[in-house]
Amino acid sequence: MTDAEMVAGLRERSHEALAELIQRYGDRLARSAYLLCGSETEAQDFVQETLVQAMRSAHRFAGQSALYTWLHGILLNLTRHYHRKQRRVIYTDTLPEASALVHEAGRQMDLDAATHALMDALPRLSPPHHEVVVLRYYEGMRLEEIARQLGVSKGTVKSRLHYATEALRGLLPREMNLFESTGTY
Amino acid sequence: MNCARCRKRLYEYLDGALSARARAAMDNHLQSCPACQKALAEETASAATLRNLLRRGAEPITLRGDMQARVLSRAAQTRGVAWADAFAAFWSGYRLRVALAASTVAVAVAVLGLWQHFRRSAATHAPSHFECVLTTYADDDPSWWTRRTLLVCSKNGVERFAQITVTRSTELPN
Repeated sequence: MTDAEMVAGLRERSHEALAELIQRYGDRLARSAYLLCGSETEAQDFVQETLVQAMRSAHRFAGQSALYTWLHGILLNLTRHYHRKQRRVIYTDTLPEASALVHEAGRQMDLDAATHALMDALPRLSPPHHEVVVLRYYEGMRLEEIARQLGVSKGTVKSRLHYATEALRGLLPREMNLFESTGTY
Repeated sequence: MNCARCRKRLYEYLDGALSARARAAMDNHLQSCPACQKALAEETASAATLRNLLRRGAEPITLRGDMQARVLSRAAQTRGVAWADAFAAFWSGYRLRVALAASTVAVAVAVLGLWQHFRRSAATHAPSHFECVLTTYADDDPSWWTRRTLLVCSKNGVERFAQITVTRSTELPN
Protein backbone atom coordinates (compact mmCIF):
# COMPACT_ATOMS: atom_id res chain seq x y z
CA MET A 1 0.00 0.00 0.00
CA THR A 2 1.46 3.38 -0.98
CA ASP A 3 1.35 6.45 1.27
CA ALA A 4 -1.34 7.98 -0.94
CA GLU A 5 -3.47 4.84 -0.66
CA MET A 6 -2.99 4.88 3.10
CA VAL A 7 -4.16 8.48 3.30
CA ALA A 8 -7.17 7.67 1.13
CA GLY A 9 -7.90 4.74 3.47
CA LEU A 10 -7.61 6.95 6.54
CA ARG A 11 -10.14 9.33 5.05
CA GLU A 12 -12.53 6.40 4.88
CA ARG A 13 -11.47 5.33 8.39
CA SER A 14 -10.27 2.05 6.97
CA HIS A 15 -8.91 -0.38 9.55
CA GLU A 16 -6.49 -1.82 7.02
CA ALA A 17 -5.02 1.57 6.25
CA LEU A 18 -4.57 2.29 9.95
CA ALA A 19 -2.94 -1.09 10.51
CA GLU A 20 -0.55 -0.45 7.65
CA LEU A 21 0.24 3.03 8.96
CA ILE A 22 0.98 1.67 12.41
CA GLN A 23 3.14 -1.09 11.04
CA ARG A 24 5.12 1.25 8.82
CA TYR A 25 5.55 4.30 11.05
CA GLY A 26 4.35 3.33 14.52
CA ASP A 27 7.67 2.40 16.12
CA ARG A 28 9.49 5.30 14.52
CA LEU A 29 6.87 7.74 15.80
CA ALA A 30 6.97 6.17 19.26
CA ARG A 31 10.75 6.49 19.43
CA SER A 32 10.69 10.07 18.27
CA ALA A 33 7.94 10.85 20.80
CA TYR A 34 10.02 9.22 23.50
CA LEU A 35 13.02 11.35 22.60
CA LEU A 36 10.86 14.46 22.60
CA CYS A 37 9.11 13.88 25.92
CA GLY A 38 11.42 11.48 27.80
CA SER A 39 8.62 9.21 29.01
CA GLU A 40 7.60 5.94 27.39
CA THR A 41 4.05 6.11 28.72
CA GLU A 42 3.59 9.65 27.46
CA ALA A 43 5.17 8.68 24.15
CA GLN A 44 2.56 5.92 23.63
CA ASP A 45 -0.22 8.40 24.39
CA PHE A 46 1.25 10.94 22.01
CA VAL A 47 1.40 8.41 19.19
CA GLN A 48 -2.18 7.33 19.90
CA GLU A 49 -3.38 10.92 19.74
CA THR A 50 -1.28 11.56 16.64
CA LEU A 51 -2.94 8.66 14.85
CA VAL A 52 -6.42 9.74 15.97
CA GLN A 53 -5.78 13.25 14.69
CA ALA A 54 -4.33 11.84 11.47
CA MET A 55 -7.55 9.88 10.89
CA ARG A 56 -9.67 12.90 11.61
CA SER A 57 -7.69 15.28 9.46
CA ALA A 58 -6.53 13.01 6.64
CA HIS A 59 -8.58 15.14 4.24
CA ARG A 60 -6.22 18.04 5.00
CA PHE A 61 -3.16 16.12 3.89
CA ALA A 62 -2.40 17.56 0.47
CA GLY A 63 0.68 15.46 -0.23
CA GLN A 64 3.01 18.44 -0.14
CA SER A 65 5.27 16.64 2.32
CA ALA A 66 6.02 13.00 3.03
CA LEU A 67 3.33 11.23 5.05
CA TYR A 68 5.74 10.58 7.91
CA THR A 69 6.73 14.26 8.02
CA TRP A 70 3.07 15.22 8.27
CA LEU A 71 2.49 12.70 11.06
CA HIS A 72 5.58 13.94 12.83
CA GLY A 73 4.28 17.50 12.59
CA ILE A 74 1.13 16.43 14.46
CA LEU A 75 3.26 14.66 17.05
CA LEU A 76 5.47 17.71 17.46
CA ASN A 77 2.46 19.95 18.14
CA LEU A 78 1.27 17.54 20.82
CA THR A 79 4.66 17.36 22.52
CA ARG A 80 4.96 21.15 22.39
CA HIS A 81 1.69 21.42 24.25
CA TYR A 82 3.09 18.92 26.73
CA HIS A 83 6.23 21.01 27.19
CA ARG A 84 4.15 24.11 27.79
CA LYS A 85 2.34 22.28 30.59
CA GLN A 86 5.70 21.23 32.03
CA ARG A 87 7.00 24.79 32.15
CA ARG A 88 7.55 24.61 35.86
CA VAL A 89 10.52 22.34 35.26
CA ILE A 90 13.68 24.31 35.96
CA TYR A 91 16.50 23.82 33.51
CA THR A 92 19.98 23.90 35.02
CA ASP A 93 23.42 23.71 33.55
CA THR A 94 24.45 20.85 35.77
CA LEU A 95 23.77 17.17 35.38
CA PRO A 96 23.41 15.79 38.90
CA GLU A 97 23.69 12.15 37.94
CA ALA A 98 26.50 12.67 35.48
CA SER A 99 29.23 12.07 37.99
CA ALA A 100 28.05 8.48 38.42
CA LEU A 101 28.44 7.93 34.71
CA VAL A 102 31.87 9.39 34.37
CA HIS A 103 34.59 6.83 34.24
CA GLU A 104 38.18 7.53 35.01
CA ALA A 105 39.39 10.79 33.60
CA GLY A 106 40.82 10.62 30.11
CA ARG A 107 39.17 7.28 29.34
CA GLN A 108 36.36 6.98 26.81
CA MET A 109 33.01 6.12 28.25
CA ASP A 110 31.38 2.94 27.07
CA LEU A 111 28.52 3.16 24.65
CA ASP A 112 25.73 2.45 27.14
CA ALA A 113 26.98 5.06 29.57
CA ALA A 114 27.26 7.62 26.78
CA THR A 115 23.72 6.83 25.61
CA HIS A 116 22.45 7.14 29.17
CA ALA A 117 24.24 10.46 29.62
CA LEU A 118 22.71 11.86 26.44
CA MET A 119 19.21 10.67 27.34
CA ASP A 120 19.62 12.40 30.70
CA ALA A 121 20.90 15.59 29.11
CA LEU A 122 18.16 15.93 26.46
CA PRO A 123 15.30 16.96 28.78
CA ARG A 124 17.59 19.53 30.34
CA LEU A 125 17.71 21.47 27.10
CA SER A 126 15.07 24.13 26.55
CA PRO A 127 12.14 22.78 24.46
CA PRO A 128 13.17 24.62 21.25
CA HIS A 129 16.73 23.29 21.54
CA HIS A 130 15.48 19.84 22.46
CA GLU A 131 13.25 19.76 19.36
CA VAL A 132 15.97 20.73 16.89
CA VAL A 133 18.36 18.11 18.26
CA VAL A 134 15.77 15.36 17.78
CA LEU A 135 14.69 16.60 14.36
CA ARG A 136 18.22 17.08 13.07
CA TYR A 137 20.11 14.21 14.58
CA TYR A 138 17.45 11.53 15.11
CA GLU A 139 15.03 12.25 12.29
CA GLY A 140 17.88 13.31 10.03
CA MET A 141 15.96 16.29 8.70
CA ARG A 142 17.65 18.91 6.60
CA LEU A 143 17.79 22.51 7.75
CA GLU A 144 14.99 23.52 5.40
CA GLU A 145 12.72 20.68 6.53
CA ILE A 146 13.22 21.56 10.18
CA ALA A 147 12.43 25.21 9.47
CA ARG A 148 9.22 24.20 7.69
CA GLN A 149 8.26 21.73 10.39
CA LEU A 150 8.77 24.26 13.19
CA GLY A 151 7.46 27.26 11.28
CA VAL A 152 10.63 29.27 11.80
CA SER A 153 13.37 30.60 9.53
CA LYS A 154 16.46 28.62 8.57
CA GLY A 155 18.54 31.18 10.46
CA THR A 156 16.58 30.45 13.62
CA VAL A 157 17.14 26.72 13.16
CA LYS A 158 20.88 27.27 12.73
CA SER A 159 20.99 29.41 15.83
CA ARG A 160 19.03 26.85 17.85
CA LEU A 161 21.27 24.03 16.65
CA HIS A 162 24.34 26.02 17.59
CA TYR A 163 23.11 26.82 21.09
CA ALA A 164 21.73 23.30 21.58
CA THR A 165 25.09 21.71 20.81
CA GLU A 166 26.80 24.28 23.04
CA ALA A 167 24.40 23.37 25.85
CA LEU A 168 25.01 19.66 25.28
CA ARG A 169 28.72 20.29 25.43
CA GLY A 170 28.21 21.66 28.93
CA LEU A 171 25.78 18.96 30.01
CA LEU A 172 27.59 15.85 28.81
CA PRO A 173 30.62 14.35 30.54
CA ARG A 174 33.80 15.58 28.90
CA GLU A 175 34.95 11.99 28.40
CA MET A 176 32.38 11.59 25.65
CA ASN A 177 34.42 13.89 23.41
CA LEU A 178 31.19 14.59 21.58
CA PHE A 179 32.54 17.59 19.76
CA GLU A 180 35.90 16.18 18.85
CA SER A 181 36.39 14.70 15.42
CA THR A 182 38.07 11.71 17.05
CA GLY A 183 35.37 11.18 19.65
CA THR A 184 32.60 9.52 17.69
CA TYR A 185 30.96 6.36 18.95
CA MET B 1 34.66 33.39 1.02
CA ASN B 2 35.67 34.17 4.58
CA CYS B 3 35.51 31.98 7.71
CA ALA B 4 32.33 33.60 9.10
CA ARG B 5 30.40 32.92 5.90
CA CYS B 6 31.81 29.42 5.70
CA ARG B 7 30.68 28.59 9.28
CA LYS B 8 27.30 30.12 8.59
CA ARG B 9 26.74 27.76 5.67
CA LEU B 10 28.11 24.64 7.29
CA TYR B 11 24.70 22.98 7.80
CA GLU B 12 23.60 23.68 4.23
CA TYR B 13 26.94 22.35 3.02
CA LEU B 14 26.42 19.11 4.91
CA ASP B 15 22.82 18.93 3.67
CA GLY B 16 23.97 19.32 0.08
CA ALA B 17 21.61 22.28 -0.14
CA LEU B 18 24.05 24.81 -1.59
CA SER B 19 24.13 25.84 -5.22
CA ALA B 20 27.02 24.48 -7.29
CA ARG B 21 28.70 27.87 -7.19
CA ALA B 22 28.37 28.29 -3.41
CA ARG B 23 29.54 24.73 -2.86
CA ALA B 24 32.61 25.30 -5.00
CA ALA B 25 33.40 28.47 -3.02
CA MET B 26 33.06 26.50 0.23
CA ASP B 27 35.30 23.74 -1.09
CA ASN B 28 37.92 26.29 -2.09
CA HIS B 29 37.83 27.93 1.30
CA LEU B 30 37.93 24.63 3.18
CA GLN B 31 41.01 23.52 1.26
CA SER B 32 42.94 26.50 2.52
CA CYS B 33 41.48 26.97 6.02
CA PRO B 34 42.41 24.45 8.73
CA ALA B 35 40.09 26.12 11.28
CA CYS B 36 37.02 25.68 9.07
CA GLN B 37 38.12 22.14 8.19
CA LYS B 38 38.17 21.43 11.92
CA ALA B 39 34.73 22.97 12.39
CA LEU B 40 33.34 20.82 9.57
CA ALA B 41 34.97 17.68 10.95
CA GLU B 42 33.59 18.41 14.43
CA GLU B 43 30.08 18.96 13.16
CA THR B 44 30.23 15.79 11.07
CA ALA B 45 31.57 13.81 14.02
CA SER B 46 29.15 15.15 16.60
CA ALA B 47 26.24 14.59 14.19
CA ALA B 48 27.29 10.95 13.75
CA THR B 49 27.72 10.52 17.50
CA LEU B 50 24.38 12.08 18.35
CA ARG B 51 22.59 10.10 15.66
CA ASN B 52 24.11 6.89 16.93
CA LEU B 53 23.39 7.56 20.60
CA LEU B 54 19.86 8.82 20.01
CA ARG B 55 19.05 5.69 18.02
CA ARG B 56 20.47 3.53 20.77
CA GLY B 57 18.56 5.48 23.41
CA ALA B 58 15.23 5.16 21.61
CA GLU B 59 15.74 1.64 20.30
CA PRO B 60 13.99 -0.20 23.18
CA ILE B 61 10.79 1.74 22.56
CA THR B 62 8.18 -0.05 20.48
CA LEU B 63 4.57 0.81 19.94
CA ARG B 64 2.21 -1.08 22.20
CA GLY B 65 0.45 -4.00 20.55
CA ASP B 66 -3.09 -2.77 21.12
CA MET B 67 -2.48 0.63 19.54
CA GLN B 68 -4.84 0.05 16.61
CA ALA B 69 -7.74 -0.87 18.89
CA ARG B 70 -7.02 2.11 21.12
CA VAL B 71 -6.91 4.51 18.16
CA LEU B 72 -10.15 3.16 16.71
CA SER B 73 -11.84 3.37 20.10
CA ARG B 74 -10.66 6.94 20.61
CA ALA B 75 -11.64 7.89 17.06
CA ALA B 76 -15.12 6.45 17.66
CA GLN B 77 -15.52 8.66 20.73
CA THR B 78 -14.92 11.71 18.60
CA ARG B 79 -17.50 10.75 15.99
CA GLY B 80 -19.94 13.12 17.63
CA VAL B 81 -18.10 15.91 15.95
CA ALA B 82 -18.61 14.49 12.48
CA TRP B 83 -20.09 17.80 11.34
CA ALA B 84 -16.78 19.43 12.22
CA ASP B 85 -14.99 16.87 10.07
CA ALA B 86 -17.43 17.53 7.25
CA PHE B 87 -16.89 21.28 7.53
CA ALA B 88 -13.13 20.79 7.66
CA ALA B 89 -13.33 18.63 4.52
CA PHE B 90 -15.40 21.27 2.76
CA TRP B 91 -13.12 24.03 3.94
CA SER B 92 -9.97 22.25 2.87
CA GLY B 93 -11.37 21.80 -0.63
CA TYR B 94 -12.82 25.24 -1.13
CA ARG B 95 -10.93 27.49 1.25
CA LEU B 96 -8.96 29.22 -1.50
CA ARG B 97 -12.07 29.98 -3.53
CA VAL B 98 -14.05 31.00 -0.47
CA ALA B 99 -11.23 33.25 0.71
CA LEU B 100 -10.94 34.82 -2.75
CA ALA B 101 -14.69 35.46 -2.97
CA ALA B 102 -14.77 36.86 0.57
CA SER B 103 -11.88 39.20 -0.09
CA THR B 104 -13.47 40.38 -3.38
CA VAL B 105 -16.74 41.13 -1.58
CA ALA B 106 -14.83 42.91 1.20
CA VAL B 107 -12.96 45.09 -1.30
CA ALA B 108 -16.20 45.88 -3.18
CA VAL B 109 -17.97 46.84 0.06
CA ALA B 110 -15.02 49.02 1.09
CA VAL B 111 -14.94 50.81 -2.28
CA LEU B 112 -18.72 51.34 -2.22
CA GLY B 113 -18.54 52.64 1.35
CA LEU B 114 -15.76 55.07 0.50
CA TRP B 115 -17.62 56.30 -2.57
CA GLN B 116 -20.77 56.87 -0.51
CA HIS B 117 -18.77 58.62 2.17
CA PHE B 118 -17.12 61.06 -0.23
CA ARG B 119 -20.39 61.66 -2.05
CA ARG B 120 -22.15 62.55 1.18
CA SER B 121 -19.23 64.63 2.29
CA ALA B 122 -19.25 66.58 -0.96
CA ALA B 123 -22.96 67.16 -0.62
CA THR B 124 -22.63 68.30 3.00
CA HIS B 125 -19.80 70.67 2.36
CA ALA B 126 -21.06 72.00 -0.93
CA PRO B 127 -22.52 75.48 -0.74
CA SER B 128 -26.17 75.52 -1.53
CA HIS B 129 -25.83 78.73 -3.48
CA PHE B 130 -23.21 80.02 -5.85
CA GLU B 131 -22.83 83.56 -6.82
CA CYS B 132 -20.58 84.15 -9.77
CA VAL B 133 -19.53 87.60 -10.91
CA LEU B 134 -18.43 87.36 -14.46
CA THR B 135 -17.04 90.02 -16.68
CA THR B 136 -17.40 89.71 -20.36
CA TYR B 137 -17.34 91.75 -23.51
CA ALA B 138 -19.97 89.60 -25.17
CA ASP B 139 -22.76 89.94 -22.66
CA ASP B 140 -25.37 89.72 -25.33
CA ASP B 141 -24.53 86.11 -26.14
CA PRO B 142 -26.81 83.93 -23.96
CA SER B 143 -25.19 80.68 -25.15
CA TRP B 144 -21.88 81.74 -23.60
CA TRP B 145 -23.53 82.15 -20.21
CA THR B 146 -25.09 78.74 -20.54
CA ARG B 147 -21.79 77.09 -21.31
CA ARG B 148 -20.01 78.87 -18.50
CA THR B 149 -22.66 77.97 -15.93
CA LEU B 150 -22.64 74.33 -16.84
CA LEU B 151 -18.87 74.28 -16.66
CA VAL B 152 -18.84 75.72 -13.13
CA CYS B 153 -21.44 73.23 -11.91
CA SER B 154 -19.73 70.26 -13.44
CA LYS B 155 -16.34 71.26 -12.11
CA ASN B 156 -17.58 71.25 -8.52
CA GLY B 157 -19.51 68.02 -8.93
CA VAL B 158 -22.57 69.35 -7.10
CA GLU B 159 -24.95 69.84 -9.96
CA ARG B 160 -27.94 68.66 -8.00
CA PHE B 161 -27.33 70.88 -5.02
CA ALA B 162 -26.01 74.13 -6.35
CA GLN B 163 -28.02 77.03 -7.58
CA ILE B 164 -26.10 79.32 -9.81
CA THR B 165 -26.89 83.00 -9.87
CA VAL B 166 -24.98 84.98 -12.41
CA THR B 167 -24.58 88.68 -12.15
CA ARG B 168 -23.23 90.50 -15.14
CA SER B 169 -21.03 93.48 -14.77
CA THR B 170 -20.62 96.10 -17.38
CA GLU B 171 -17.32 97.34 -16.09
CA LEU B 172 -14.24 96.41 -18.05
CA PRO B 173 -11.40 94.65 -16.32
CA ASN B 174 -8.13 96.53 -15.76
